[in-house]
Amino acid sequence: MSTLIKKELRENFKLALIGLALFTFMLAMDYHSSALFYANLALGGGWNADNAQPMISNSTAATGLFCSIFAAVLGWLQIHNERHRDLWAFLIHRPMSRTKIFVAKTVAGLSLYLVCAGLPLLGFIIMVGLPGHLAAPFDWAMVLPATSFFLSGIVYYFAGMLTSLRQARWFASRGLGLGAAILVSVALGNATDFSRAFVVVLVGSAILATAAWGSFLSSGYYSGQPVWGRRALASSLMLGCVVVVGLVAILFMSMLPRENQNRTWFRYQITKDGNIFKVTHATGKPGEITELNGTPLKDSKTGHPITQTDFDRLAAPESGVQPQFRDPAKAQLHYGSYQDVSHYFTLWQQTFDTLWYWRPNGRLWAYDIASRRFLGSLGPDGFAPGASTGAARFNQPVRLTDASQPVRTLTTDHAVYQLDLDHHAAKLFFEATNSDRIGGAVDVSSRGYGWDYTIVVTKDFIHLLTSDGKLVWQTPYAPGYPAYYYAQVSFLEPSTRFALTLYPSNQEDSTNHLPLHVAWLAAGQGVLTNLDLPLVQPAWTQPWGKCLTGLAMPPVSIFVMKWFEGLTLARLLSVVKLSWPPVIVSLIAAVVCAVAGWWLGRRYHFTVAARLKWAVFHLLTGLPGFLGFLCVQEWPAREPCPNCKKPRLVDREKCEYCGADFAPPPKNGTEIFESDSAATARSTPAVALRE
Amino acid sequence: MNEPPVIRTRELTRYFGRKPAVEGLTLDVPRGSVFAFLGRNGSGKTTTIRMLLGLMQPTRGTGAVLGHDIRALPPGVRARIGYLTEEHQLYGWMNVRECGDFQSQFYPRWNEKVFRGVVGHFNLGLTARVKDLSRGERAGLCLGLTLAPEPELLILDDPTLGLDPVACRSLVESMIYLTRRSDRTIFFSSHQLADVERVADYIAIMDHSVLRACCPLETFRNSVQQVRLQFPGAPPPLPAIPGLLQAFRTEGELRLTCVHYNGATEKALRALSPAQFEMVPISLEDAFISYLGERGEKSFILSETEAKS
Repeated sequence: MSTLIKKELRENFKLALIGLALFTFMLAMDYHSSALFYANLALGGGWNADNAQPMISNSTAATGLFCSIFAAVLGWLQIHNERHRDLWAFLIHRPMSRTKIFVAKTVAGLSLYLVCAGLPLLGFIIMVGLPGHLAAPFDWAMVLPATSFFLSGIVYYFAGMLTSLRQARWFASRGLGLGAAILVSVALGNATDFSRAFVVVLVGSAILATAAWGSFLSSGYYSGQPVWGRRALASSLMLGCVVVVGLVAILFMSMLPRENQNRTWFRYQITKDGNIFKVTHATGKPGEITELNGTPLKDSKTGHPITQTDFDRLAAPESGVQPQFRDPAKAQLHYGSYQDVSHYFTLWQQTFDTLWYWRPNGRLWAYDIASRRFLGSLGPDGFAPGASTGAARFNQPVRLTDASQPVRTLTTDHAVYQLDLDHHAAKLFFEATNSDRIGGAVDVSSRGYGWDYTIVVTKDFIHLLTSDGKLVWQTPYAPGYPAYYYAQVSFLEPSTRFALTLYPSNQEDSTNHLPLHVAWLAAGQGVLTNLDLPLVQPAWTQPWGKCLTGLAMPPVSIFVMKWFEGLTLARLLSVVKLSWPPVIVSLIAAVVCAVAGWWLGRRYHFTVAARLKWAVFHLLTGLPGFLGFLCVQEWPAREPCPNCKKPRLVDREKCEYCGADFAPPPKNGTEIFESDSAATARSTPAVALRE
Repeated sequence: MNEPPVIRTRELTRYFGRKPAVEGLTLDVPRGSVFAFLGRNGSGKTTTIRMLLGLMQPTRGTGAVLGHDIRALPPGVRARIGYLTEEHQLYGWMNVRECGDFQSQFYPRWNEKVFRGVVGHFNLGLTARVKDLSRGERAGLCLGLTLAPEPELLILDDPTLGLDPVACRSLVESMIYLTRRSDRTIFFSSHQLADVERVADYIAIMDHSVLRACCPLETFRNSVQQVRLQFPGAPPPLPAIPGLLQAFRTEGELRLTCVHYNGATEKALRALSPAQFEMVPISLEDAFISYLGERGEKSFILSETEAKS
């Protein structure tokens, strides 16, 4: 086997070298863009956390792009170079099992892939991870997104091999293996954590590797493959069909008239003068503004119903807080999935010579822009030079900072702190009573810039404070958390008047029957008046065109996707609603496909066991599975049996209907056979070979 | 002849879509024979060979090579079979020595002397790259790689295709010289009938995917006969003549090629009352062309040609 491995290494060495150079260049460009980012910061350049630490999104994009293309090309070429009929025979016809030849090829191919993609990536990781190179945090966990796409190259490698091996036409089913790999990439892109991504890569690699192995053993045909090869091939083509059917369905839906996608919903909006109106939206149409009794709001100048644009000028500025009162030990400090930069840090603020990052450990990390080295971390207990952790930590901020509206305050469970980053300090801004607990705070600018107020939501109260910490008003958080999960303050005119809106939680009240609660307040007077408003949205049925996505959705995928979204297996059955229109379409398609598959199985005389297995496959995988079934099966010709005249399959030794043998080819009277010589007469009956 | 055949097929059939490429092939190849597998292009020779080597699965029927089912030839059996393809494809980036070194790693019975001998016979430098070799030289290298493992059975798929006459003769000589031992069998397809006539013991002829002849070479030669009939004027119309392959009509002459020529055939011909009746010796090439060519009568009469023009 080592001889074959050496041959493969030598044969693909040039391609590997090109790949190595290309990927090194791509990653070097990513690193270079980060260097430019830091240089531009000094000149007042814009913020972009992706550039501050390219290990996450930038290198992941480069890795995903390079690894998928390079691995697919490598796998494809390893077979294609020897796909010429005679060269294939030269490779295969040797005293070595085909499995060993396949293993030798894959060992060499994957080794080249690991070196060509792995070495530059490793070098890049070292560069961004070593202190002094980037003024941004680095965790080993940040390597995981790029690693998942690096590993997905293995899936593409086998997909490339399978595509090259298959005896099918390009416009038909040959490229479906690549479709399966693309589906794996899509799944990776949506994975919320590395473990799920790893499982996807593992399953995808196993399926495509087995399919490629089976196809290698049979020179690309379905017949002659071992049973696991056939199963894997059917599965991989099914996955490829998911992509194809999905694309066709999306294309079809994009051509549908917009009326078919009509959906109506409404919201309430408070104007600066304190009145409340109902704004009804329909897909693709401007909002319709009415009073609570249903009378359309008219423009005082024209007398016509007011437009959305004009109404927006009347609307009061508003800001809200979604408090979190979870157990601090279990509190979510990460944002987004493991592939988002914000999962690891948020570029918080830039002071004269320092970059500040919000970190999931509840502290702000400081990096010196000039030396690009870590300075220390800021917590409620003050600045800790050189230390990234401390005993005290802030809670996750309600709103992330941005350049135009920097966040001025951070909270703990019992206090709000005002940040003074120029002096590396945090001073006490607000303190809750001992029995109360802070759920969140947000800084508000009623003019769109600066800092006018801070809304602080505790378990018992909602407070509005000015930027110098004075209390404007305080009102009980009632109806309270968790039934009402979101508190929104509208800033009215005159500036001493406010409206507080409490939104009911859909999670806690799935029937959506809780009303919206609105309270009008005045500075120093508290609540003036209250109002509860119905919040039941009009029923909405999905347009039939959108249900076509169900055709691309194997029934089994409904559960897989929910698992992918992070639901545990126990909750899957309770969450998946069989009444969803795409689910119904998917299930109907699965049943129709199972029936069609059964009929085809009968027509081509599959055994009952084979028909049953295919029926189960079709029920689980729906239309994509059925298309995969049509692609993998080699449908033999049928010709009339000379005995019973029924159409019999040419790949059977005897007629399926009457058991007759195939008749010998008709003679034309010129045959020359010598029965006593080496040749046996044509009339010799077929016998089993037992030598 | 009591030894089991080296190759045995029974009703071996292969379809490509709805078209049969090989239909109901039943064939035995005896050990130690040089067996020529003949037929026109597209008659199913290469498909048969590829099925015999397990490179392609038959649609139905059975086959065995060296006593093993062709659907699953074990590696040990493959070591005993040498296979030379028609286009002599090799890895272009290797040189001649690397080709030998590469191949020798897989065959325990590799005979370096044989390899060097064949390579030397074709005047190949050991450092010459495969991609720089001519077609004939590549064929010689392929032959060396095929013969050096000292196979029991040599299967050659039109090995002289595209070679010039010198290279062609060189290839056949090497092949015969090095493999002509009683325990070795050669099964080869070819269009070079002169070579077939020189080396083959047995022939099998495929015609439109069906085996039409399978016999010793002499039997075939004796079965196909040519007769020349001369007439004082225009030859009379031909009646139905058993075994007639081709008739060629000229002014005052009929030349007939028949298979299974016997008394009934002669009686039918003499009934035409020819002025002269003569058996004409026929070469294998002529016999083969008549056997696989278009059936029926052709004419070349000058007066008719002039009249038409």
